[in-house]
Amino acid sequence: MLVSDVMTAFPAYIRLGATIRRAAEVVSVSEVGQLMVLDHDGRFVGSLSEEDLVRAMLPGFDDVTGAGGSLADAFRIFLERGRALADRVIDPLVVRDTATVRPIDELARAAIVMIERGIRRLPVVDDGTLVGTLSRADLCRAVIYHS
Amino acid sequence: MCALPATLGRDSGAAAVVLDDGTVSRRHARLEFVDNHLVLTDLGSSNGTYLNDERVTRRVLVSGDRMRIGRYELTWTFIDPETTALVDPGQLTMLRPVAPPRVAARRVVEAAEAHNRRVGHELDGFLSLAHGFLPAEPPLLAFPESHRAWDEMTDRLPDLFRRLSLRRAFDAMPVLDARPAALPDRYLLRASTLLGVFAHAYQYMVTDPPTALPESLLRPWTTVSRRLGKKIPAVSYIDLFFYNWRLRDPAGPRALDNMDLLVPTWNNAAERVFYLVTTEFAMGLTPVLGAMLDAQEAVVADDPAALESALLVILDRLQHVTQAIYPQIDPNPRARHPLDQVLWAKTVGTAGVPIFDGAPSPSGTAQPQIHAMDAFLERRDYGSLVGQQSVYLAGFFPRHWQELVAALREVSVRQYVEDTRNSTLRGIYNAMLDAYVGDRGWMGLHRIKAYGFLEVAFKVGRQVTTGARFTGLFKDRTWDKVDGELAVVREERRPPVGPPVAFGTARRGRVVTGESGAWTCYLEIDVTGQGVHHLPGDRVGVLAENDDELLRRTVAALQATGDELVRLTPKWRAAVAYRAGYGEVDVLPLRTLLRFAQLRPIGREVAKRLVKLTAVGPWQRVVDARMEDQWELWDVLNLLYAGGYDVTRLWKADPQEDDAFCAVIPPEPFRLYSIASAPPPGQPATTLQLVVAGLDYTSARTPWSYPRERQGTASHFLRRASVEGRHRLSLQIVSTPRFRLPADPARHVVMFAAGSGIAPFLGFVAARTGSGENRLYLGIRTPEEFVERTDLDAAAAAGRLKLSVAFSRADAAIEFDGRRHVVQAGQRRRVDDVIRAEADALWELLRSTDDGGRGAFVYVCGSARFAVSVLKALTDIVPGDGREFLRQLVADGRLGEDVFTTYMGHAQQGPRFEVSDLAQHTTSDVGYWMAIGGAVFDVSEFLHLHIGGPHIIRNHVGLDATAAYRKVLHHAHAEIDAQLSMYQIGHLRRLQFGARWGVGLTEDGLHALPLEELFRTWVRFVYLLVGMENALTADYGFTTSVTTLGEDPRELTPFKAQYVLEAHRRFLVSYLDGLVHEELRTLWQLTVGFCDPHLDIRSFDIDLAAMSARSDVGLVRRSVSAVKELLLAGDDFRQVTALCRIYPHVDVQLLRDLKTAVLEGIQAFEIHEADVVEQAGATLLNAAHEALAAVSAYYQRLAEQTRGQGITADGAVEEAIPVDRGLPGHGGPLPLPD
Repeated sequence: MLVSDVMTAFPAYIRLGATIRRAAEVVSVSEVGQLMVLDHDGRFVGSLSEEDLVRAMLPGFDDVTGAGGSLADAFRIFLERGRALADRVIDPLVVRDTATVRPIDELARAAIVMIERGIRRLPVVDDGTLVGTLSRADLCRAVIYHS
Repeated sequence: MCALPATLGRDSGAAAVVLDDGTVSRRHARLEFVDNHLVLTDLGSSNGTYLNDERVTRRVLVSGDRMRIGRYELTWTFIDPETTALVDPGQLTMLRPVAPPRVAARRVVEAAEAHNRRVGHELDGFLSLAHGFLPAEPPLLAFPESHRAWDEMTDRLPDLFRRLSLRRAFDAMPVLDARPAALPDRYLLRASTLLGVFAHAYQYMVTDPPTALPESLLRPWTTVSRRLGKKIPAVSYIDLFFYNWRLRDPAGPRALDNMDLLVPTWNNAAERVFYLVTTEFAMGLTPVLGAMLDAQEAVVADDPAALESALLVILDRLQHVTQAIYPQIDPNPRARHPLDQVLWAKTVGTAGVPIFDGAPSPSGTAQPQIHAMDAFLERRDYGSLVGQQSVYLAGFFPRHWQELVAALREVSVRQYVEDTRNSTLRGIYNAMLDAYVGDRGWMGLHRIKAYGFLEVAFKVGRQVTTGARFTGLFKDRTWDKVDGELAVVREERRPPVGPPVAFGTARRGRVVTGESGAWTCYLEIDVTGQGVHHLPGDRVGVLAENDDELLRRTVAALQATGDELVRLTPKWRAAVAYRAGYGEVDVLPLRTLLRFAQLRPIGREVAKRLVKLTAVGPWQRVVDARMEDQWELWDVLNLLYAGGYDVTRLWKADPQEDDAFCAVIPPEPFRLYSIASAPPPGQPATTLQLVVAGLDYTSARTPWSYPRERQGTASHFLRRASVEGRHRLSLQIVSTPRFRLPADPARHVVMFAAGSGIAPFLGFVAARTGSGENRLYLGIRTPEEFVERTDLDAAAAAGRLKLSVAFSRADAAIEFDGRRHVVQAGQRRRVDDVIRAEADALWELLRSTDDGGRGAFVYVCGSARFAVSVLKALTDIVPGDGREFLRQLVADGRLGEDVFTTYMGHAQQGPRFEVSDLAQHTTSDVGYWMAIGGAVFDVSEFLHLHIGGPHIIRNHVGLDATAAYRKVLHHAHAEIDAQLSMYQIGHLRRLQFGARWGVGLTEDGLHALPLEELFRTWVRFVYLLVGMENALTADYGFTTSVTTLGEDPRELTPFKAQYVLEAHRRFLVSYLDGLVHEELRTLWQLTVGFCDPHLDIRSFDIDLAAMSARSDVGLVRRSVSAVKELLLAGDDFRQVTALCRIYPHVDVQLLRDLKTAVLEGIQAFEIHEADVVEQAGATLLNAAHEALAAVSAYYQRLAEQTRGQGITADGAVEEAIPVDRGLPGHGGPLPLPD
C-alpha cells in the first residue's frame, strides 16, 4: 500500500510571514498538532508544531527570578508571553529540515521513520509541492481498521 | 626413573640405580613401597646408608629427606602413577644431574650474594636465597660515636610529637657530616632510614608544612641519598619496611611478636602493626624467590615433577602470607594487634608522602616481591595509573633488584604449563595465580582492606595517600575512584592457563530421605590428577546444569524449537569455557545455552532488566513488590508474552543488543558447597566429598505470585549426577581463611552443625589426628536422617571424637557403643538445648587458656537461624558478660562461622521499617541499624565482630549501605552474604506515590518531577547527613586514642588538638558549605515547587546570604586559624583546649539537629504518601526552614562560646582550601633543594 492511498489530501497549512496568533487559530480549527508551512510561492518549506509554540511561552530560571521568583510568577509569565508572542511571525519557529515522504512511497517506509524519530505527522511532498500529510492515525486506520 | 622395588649399588647387574664408587657395596640398599610408605633398607652395606646424616638400617622416607650413599648425595622424587597425571615416565630419571641448568635469574641471585659478601655491605640491593629481598645482615642498631646525635634522637620522636615541639628539636640538632670520610658505607642504610624518618616527621608533625627542612636534616639526608644513587632525597620502601626493624630477641623468629621499629615516629599501635606486618609479610615471602628459580629451572630441564613442587611452594607461601600474616593488620580493637583505621589515617597514613616534587613514594607498588611475581607471571599490561606508578617506582630499584626482575622474564613457566597440557600443573598454576591476584588472594584482599582503610581515611580527612594526593568534598566519594584504580590494576596481571577451573567426575552417591520428604545427597567427585589442593573447611564451587523439564518449559515459553543458534557475548563466552568439553565457542544452540543459564529464581537485576525491556505492567508490579524471586524465567516469559512482549526477541536479537538473551540472563554461577573430606597435608585431593541438602519449596500465594512446586537448580543437578555417576563437573576451589582448624593439633575443637552443615566437619574430623579433643554437636530432625559413617565411628573408637546428636522431631538419641554410633530412645531437643544442658563442661572448654580454661576453637555451620541460636546459647552459658566473651572469641580467631541461607522462597518476611526509623539508629543507646538491598539489619552486635573493624560499620549505620557492601564484593561471596542474614530484622517499607507529580523550578528551568523523586531527594539528604554524622564521630573519636607511645588517652595533647582544629575546619568547609549551599538549596527549590507556588524561590538564597553576613559566622570561620596560631605559639594552651573540647560537641550536635529537622519532612511523606503535598505541604517547607535555622543557631552558639574564650580573631582570615593536585602525583609542596 502506498502513502498516496491513505494520506490526508487537504492538509492544514500556513505560509511564512503569518503571525503566531494565526498559527494558533489554524491549530485550533484544524485540530492537528502540526502545521505544514509553505513559502510565498506555495512550495513546501517545513513544519510548525504546537509543541514549539507552547515551549516558546515557557519561561527560564532567570525570567522567573527577574519577575518575582515564585512558581505563580512563572505561570503568570507564561500567559504574558503568549500574549506578547501572538503578533510575531512564525518564521523562527519553523522546522525546515524535516523528514518527508513521497506519495509513491510504501506505507511501511513512512511508518518506520515516524516511529524511530518520534514524528506524529509526516508531510507528503511531490517535487517540492505539498500534496498531503500522513499521520499515525492514517496509518492505523488503513492498515489495522480496514484490514 | 626406576620402578619399585629398586636396588641401589655398585653392581650394574644387580642394582637398578648404579653408583660408581668404591665405598658403595655391590647391593647397598633397597627402595620399596610397603603399606603406602616408601621404605629405604640398608642391605648390610660395609659403609652404611645415611638419611639426613644419620646412619639407618630401615626407615620410612618422607618428602625432603636427604639420602647419602658413599659420596653420593641422592635426591629423589616419588611419582605415584595412581595419584598424579605426570604420565610420561620416559621423561624422568631417578638420578638427575646434580647441577640443574642455571637460569638467568639464579645467576643474578648468586652474583648478588657474592657481590654483597665481597663488598661487605648491601647497598646494591638485598638479594639472597636465605633472606629474599630483606637484608642478610639485620639492620644496624647504632652509629659510630661521631653520629650519636642522630641515635639519641630516635627515642625522642613520640614525645616531641606529642608536644608539637619536634621542629624546634631538629632545628637545634647539630649538622653532622655524612660524606664517606665521616660516615662509612656500612652505615649508609641506617642513616638513610633515620634521616628519612626524621625529615618526614619534621614535614608532617604539624598539619601545615614548613617552608624548608632545617640544615641539620637537609644536608646529611641529601648527601646520604646521593651516595645511594637517589637524585632526590626520599624515603624508600627499603627505608620504611626493609631496614626499619629490630629483633627483641636476636635469636628469636623474624615475626611481629619479636620485632620493634628501628626508628619509631609516634610509636603507636597503628605504626608498629602497619610497618612491622609489612616487614613480616616480605619475610614470609622469602621462599618464593628460590621457588621461582626452581620453577624456571624445572621448565628448562623439562621436569614437570620439580615444577609442580616449586609451584606448590609459591602457592603455599602466598596463602600463608595472605591468610596468616596479613590479617594481623586487624582493625578489631579486641585483637592481639589492633590497628585503628582513624589513628592510622591521622598518623601513619600520610607519613610516607614524598616531601619533594618528583620524588618516588614508598607505596605498595614499590614492593620488589610484586615486581618479581609480575615478571615471573608475565604481566603484560601496565596501562593503569597504579600500573604506571609501579613501573616508575621500579626505576628506583637498586641494581640487583632491577637485574632480577629483568632476568625473571626470560623463562616462561606459563607457556610450558600450557604446552604440556598437564591438568595437574595447570590446576596448580591457576591456583597459584588465584592466590596472587584472585578475589580472595593477595591483590583481592589488599583491595578490600585498602578500600576499608581509604574510606575511613578519606572520611576523617586524610587528604593525601602515599602514592598520590587527593582532596575532594566529602560527597565526591574520592575513595571509590582510588578503589576503581586498584580494581583495574588487578585486571592487568592475569594470563591464566586455560579457564581457571578443575574438572571432576561424579561417582555414584547415596540419597537419604527423611520422614518429611526432605532429602540429602552424599556425593563423591573424583578429581585425581587435577592438581586440586585444598585445606579442611574449604568450599568447592560447582557449575550446575538445568534439567530437561525446565529446558522444555523455557524453550516453549520462548516460542522456539531449541535448535536456534544464539551468538554469545564475551561474558557468556568466558562462562561457557568453564564447561567441560566446550572451550572456545562463539555460538550455542538455544537449548544448550539454556542448560547453562541461570533460569531460576529470577534475580533482582534480571527482573529490573525485564521491566525496562518490556514495560509490562503486571511484571512491574511484581518487581515493585520485590517478589521476583517467586518466579522462574519460563513463567515470567509467559506473563510478558500475555502483556504483549515479543519473547522471540530474546533469541533473535544480536548479542550486542540490550534484549539479547545473553545480555539479559546471566550464566549459572558456581554454587558453593563445603568440602566434606580432607586430603593428607600437602598432597593433592583425589576425591571431594559433598553433602548436598535438597531444595524443594512452593512459591507463595500472594497478589504477586502463585503457588507452584519449585526446585533448587544445583541440589537437583548434583542429585542427578550422583544417581547417574560418570557426570563431568566443572569445579572451583574457594578457600575459607576464616574457617580454619587451629595450627596447633593439641588445641581443642568444638563444632556445631545442623543438617548438611555437618559437611566441613567431616573434613575436620579426618584432618584432626593430633592430641586435641574434638566435639561435634549435630542437629537433625529424625533418626532416618542420621547417616552412619565409618569415618566418624573410627574417630570415636580411637578417642578422637565425641559426637552428640540432637533430634528435633523424634524422641531419640545417639549412643556410641564402642564400635558404632547407634540410635536409641531419648528426648527430642535442639542443639541449643544441648548447649545449655552441658553448660559447665562447654564453658570449661571454651574459656580462654589465660583465664584457666582450655581455649577451644569453636565452629558453627548451618543456616543463619541455626547459627543465631547457637551463638545465643553460647552467650547464655558464659558466667558474666556473654556477648563480650563472644566478641573476644572472634577477635582471638577462635570462632569460625560457615553460614548458608537455605532459600525458602519468600522475600517478604518480617516487619517493615521506615527510612526515619533507620536514620535514627546511629548511636549505641538506640542501637545501630543499616539497610542493604532493601533489608534492614541491626548491626549493634555485629559491629564488634566485623572482620574489617567497627569503623567501617559505624560509617554506614543509619543509611543505605548497599553500594559500599557491593563495592567490596560482599554480595558476591555467599559465605559473607549469608552471615549478614543473621542480623536481619525486616525490610524498608516502600512508599506508594502513585503517579503523583509536580513542577519544580531550578537553574535548568521548569521541569515536571514525580513525587517519588522529591521523596528520594529528601532521603538522599538525610542519608548524607547521617553519613557525615558517622564520619565526624569517627574523626573526633581520635581524641581518645593513644596517638604516641606512653600518653594518657584522656589527655588532649597539642598533637591531638591540632587534629581537632583540622577536623573542625574540614567540617565547616568540606561538610557544611556543600550541605547548605547545594544539597539543602536543591531540596528547598524542589519542595517549594510542589508545595507553595507563591513562594519566591530565591528566599532561601536571601536567608542564606543574610546569615552568612552575620558577624557570628565571620567569627566562627576566622577563628579557626587564630586558634591554630595560639596552639603553635604554645603560650596559653588552656583556651585552645577549651575550644577543642567544644568543637566536637557542637559540630556533631548540628548534624543531629539538621537530621531532626529533615526527619520531620520524611515522616510527613511516610504518613501521607501520595497525599503529602495536600496534607502536609507546609510541614515539608517548615522542615526545610528549620534546617537552615539550625545552621544559623549553630553559628550563634559557637560564636558565643568562642568569644567566651576571649577569642575575637580580629586580624585573622579564613584559610583557603588547598589546590587539588589530582591523581596520580608525587611529591609534596616543598621545592627541590639546590
